[in-house]
Amino acid sequence: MISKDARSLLDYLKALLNDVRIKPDIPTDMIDDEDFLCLDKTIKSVREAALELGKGNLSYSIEGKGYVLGSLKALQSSLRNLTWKTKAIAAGDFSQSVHFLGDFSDSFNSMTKQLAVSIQEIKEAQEHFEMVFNTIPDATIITNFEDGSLVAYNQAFIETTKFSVAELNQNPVTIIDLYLNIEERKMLLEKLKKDGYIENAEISFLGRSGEILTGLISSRLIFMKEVPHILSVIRDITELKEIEKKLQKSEELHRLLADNAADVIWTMNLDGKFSYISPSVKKLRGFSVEEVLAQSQEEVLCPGSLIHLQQGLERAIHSVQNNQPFQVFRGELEQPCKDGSTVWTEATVSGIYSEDGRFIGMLGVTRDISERKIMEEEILRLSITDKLTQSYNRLKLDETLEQQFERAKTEAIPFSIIILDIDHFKLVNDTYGHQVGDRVLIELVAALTENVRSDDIVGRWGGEEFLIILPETNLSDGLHVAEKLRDVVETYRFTTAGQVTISLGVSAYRDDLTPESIVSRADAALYQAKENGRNRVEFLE
Amino acid sequence: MERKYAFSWDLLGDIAEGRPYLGNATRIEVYRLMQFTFKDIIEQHVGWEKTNEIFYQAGKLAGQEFYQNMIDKTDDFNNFINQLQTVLKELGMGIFRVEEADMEKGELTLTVAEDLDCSGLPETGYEICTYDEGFIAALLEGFSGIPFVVKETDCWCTGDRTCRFSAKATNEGN
Ligand SMILES: [Zn+2]
Repeated sequence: MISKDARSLLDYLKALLNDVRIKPDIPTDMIDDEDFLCLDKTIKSVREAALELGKGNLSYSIEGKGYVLGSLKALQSSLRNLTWKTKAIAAGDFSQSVHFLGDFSDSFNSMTKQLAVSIQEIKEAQEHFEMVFNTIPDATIITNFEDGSLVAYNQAFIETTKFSVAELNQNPVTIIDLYLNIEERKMLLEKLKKDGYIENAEISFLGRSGEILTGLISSRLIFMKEVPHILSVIRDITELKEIEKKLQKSEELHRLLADNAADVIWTMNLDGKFSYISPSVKKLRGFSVEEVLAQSQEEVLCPGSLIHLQQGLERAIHSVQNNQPFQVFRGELEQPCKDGSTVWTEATVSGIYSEDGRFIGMLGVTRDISERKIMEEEILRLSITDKLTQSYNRLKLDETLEQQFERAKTEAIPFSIIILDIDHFKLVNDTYGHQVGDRVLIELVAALTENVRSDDIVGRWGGEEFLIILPETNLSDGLHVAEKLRDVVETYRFTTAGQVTISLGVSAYRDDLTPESIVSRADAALYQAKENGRNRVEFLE
Repeated sequence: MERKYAFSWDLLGDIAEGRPYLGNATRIEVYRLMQFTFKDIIEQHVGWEKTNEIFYQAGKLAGQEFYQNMIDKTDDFNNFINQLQTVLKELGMGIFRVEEADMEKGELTLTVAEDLDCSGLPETGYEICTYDEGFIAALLEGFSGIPFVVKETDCWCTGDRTCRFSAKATNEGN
């Protein structure tokens, strides 16, 4: 049995520990008891501390001292330290671990470790992305979908646009400012909204100093913190465009030149087919470009020139197969024209190589050389023609004599020669003057030429002396020709001079003679004719 | 004043050489015996307050030397705390924890459980870890370069289970 006072004290303490509400009054006879007041204060502190800790209020300052309060403080201290560690972990310090909260410590530490691994993985993924992002050789940017602000860019973007990193940091750029035509961005955004991506769209954009660049843009719609952004890779094709333009221009220029040149410019494959020929071919040969492109080699070249093309092609194929440089070919070719005539041309042919050194075909320039050909022939003719009489000169006579002698020697085909001289020519000159004398020479040559075969060679041997070479003619036939000529001249009436006679000496090839001795034998015969009274034919036995 | 006791870390001696059998360990009682007998005699000479002052200063000197010799220099606060935690635990000096730390404001609340000086001591009703106070102040100054004042707010000797220290940066010396 306990006293009534003790009962009321117990009720007070019980309520203090168990009830929601504290009895307001301290039992009256305890009011001055210091120990009781201390106990009362401690229990009230414990109540408050437990209540606040229970609510999770860690910043509550626990009043008082003693074992129970001390333990509560230790608990509070642990929880506060845990809070601090959690904050440190949240800030990225994964070295933090907990060792004072039993099973909780293990769970907490493994959570931290897992978090560290995950964060590390994310970090590595991010680093990997950044590395890839930065090393993409094309300008790569991330922009805000709505306002176009530049969120990220790589080194290639800096190099393409010529902005500096410092500039971009100081004055943030929005991609809208870099579009030459903002409508292009609007169209790209429409497509992005619709498809979520853009591939290789050509855009024009501005570099730092306003230079216009051309790019192929490929974009994807991405979300960063739930905000729509655009990841774009822009291939700078400005230079490519420039080159393309230049190439086009130069091609046009070349075509223009080729189309308008007087020379014919053409390209040909190794199979001998034209791949291009300039329209000037029409002027040269009368055929149109289409007609020429369809022509066979035989239709392009006359038989004598065809061999040049065939040999040229063989050499070209050989060079290409052996990786040798193409030998530039230059030659004169005769080509058939549409009107059935032919034209002489000079062709210069060289190889065409691609930039990487591959043989592509042949490039030829064909030039009309018919005029030159005529000139050449004229020069040749003049070189063998006697200026006054237009008969052959001594050069041609010597040459022909040599040829005939060789032929007779090797093929046993005989030939004869006649040397003739105008009788008393000095008298003609003295009587009528040199002009008439010259006239006689000219008319004589005409009369002689008219009365020999076309293959016979009539030439001026010197002064009023002429030599006639008669191929495939023996001595007796030669004598007949000589006699005929003597007769023709004797009956011919020369302008002003009237009748003029000639003396003739004939000799023929014999295998014991030389060209010189054949001539001297004819000469000696002519001398004899003069001795024997002129206007006659003689020969040596 | 001519000095004979000027401290240097070398004074701790070569323990492996000097104590091949007994090694590095000794009993806590021995440490406390020395500290409390010092306190007794010093108090008799200079009084209670001056004694605390002397122990605070001694703790500070110890903290400076400890920081120089046992802590790797770092700018990272967490790294500094981790090092401190590890080395204090390894040396058996206590379990050091941070409750709150605001280095910008220069305000920290730190706790040391199982403190070398006071854990398990009978209640005296007043905090006695003045040596720890100085020690912690010097460590914080070592790390931050700013002087700190450290006051023990809870102690085993006042009935608590851990020693709690409140540290504040001061402008003193600036
Ligand atoms: Zn203490």
